[in-house]
Amino acid sequence: MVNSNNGQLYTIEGITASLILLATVYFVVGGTTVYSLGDTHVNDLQLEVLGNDILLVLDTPPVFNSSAVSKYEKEKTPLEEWVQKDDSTAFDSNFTTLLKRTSIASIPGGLDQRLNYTAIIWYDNGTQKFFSGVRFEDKMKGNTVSVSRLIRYGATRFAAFEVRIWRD
Amino acid sequence: MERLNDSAQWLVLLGFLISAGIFFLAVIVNESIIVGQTTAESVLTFPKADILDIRSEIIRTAQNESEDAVIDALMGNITNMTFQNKHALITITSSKGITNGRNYRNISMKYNNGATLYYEVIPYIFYS
Repeated sequence: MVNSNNGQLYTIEGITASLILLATVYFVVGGTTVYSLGDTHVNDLQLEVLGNDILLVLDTPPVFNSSAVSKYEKEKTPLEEWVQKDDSTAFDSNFTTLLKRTSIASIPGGLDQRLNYTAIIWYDNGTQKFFSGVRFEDKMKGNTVSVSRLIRYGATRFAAFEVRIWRD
Repeated sequence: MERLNDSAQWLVLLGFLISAGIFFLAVIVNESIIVGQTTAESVLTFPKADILDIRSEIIRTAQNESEDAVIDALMGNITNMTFQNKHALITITSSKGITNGRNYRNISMKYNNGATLYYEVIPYIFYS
């Protein structure tokens, strides 16, 4: 093939054309990758942002209680009060209102009942206590999102308040 | 096709160049599917809520407590709870000082959850 000049460009043209064909087939086959909403975890992120925002709202002190004794008591947040007093009813009504409120007018009460949650308190000795919501052994489904927040409980301890949210 | 005269050789050459240009555009279209996903993923996995929560608890604790032993115990508690629940390692160090007769602490926090490393020095937390 090399000694004479006949047909060399013909050969090169053939090789180049075959490379272009192979690249085209590769792109056609590889370009069919489709990312669905589940792959990109869009719904999980939505629930996680919602849960984090709700815990932030509930963990912010609404007033400065200047008549309280210690400085920590002056800035106590609603979430810390409910945990200390073990008031799961108040927490449930506040959390449910913020979690399930929807703008769809045709739903009675304006609450989307498909969202559910379980609230668990984790203490610093490794134990946990179920606090409010649906018991997780019964109903928790896949695609459950967990958000947590540190709360001060007692005057010298911290606990982690974890909420698991899922859609039915 | 290759001949000793120059007929149509420019045509062939430009044909190769145009096919190379189309090849390049095909590479861009192919990579566009992945690039949006990985960029958004790095933003989504940043633990913004965790870091802000730990930071606010550290500042609240430093402002409200004045004894060193209590501060050390509480900061140790924050470290343990973060490791236990949020699966992140944090290191909190503090130093004290006085300026204009007011006591203050400088607290530095280092957060590492395996994917994100965050380091901040919070200066001049005044307490009384």
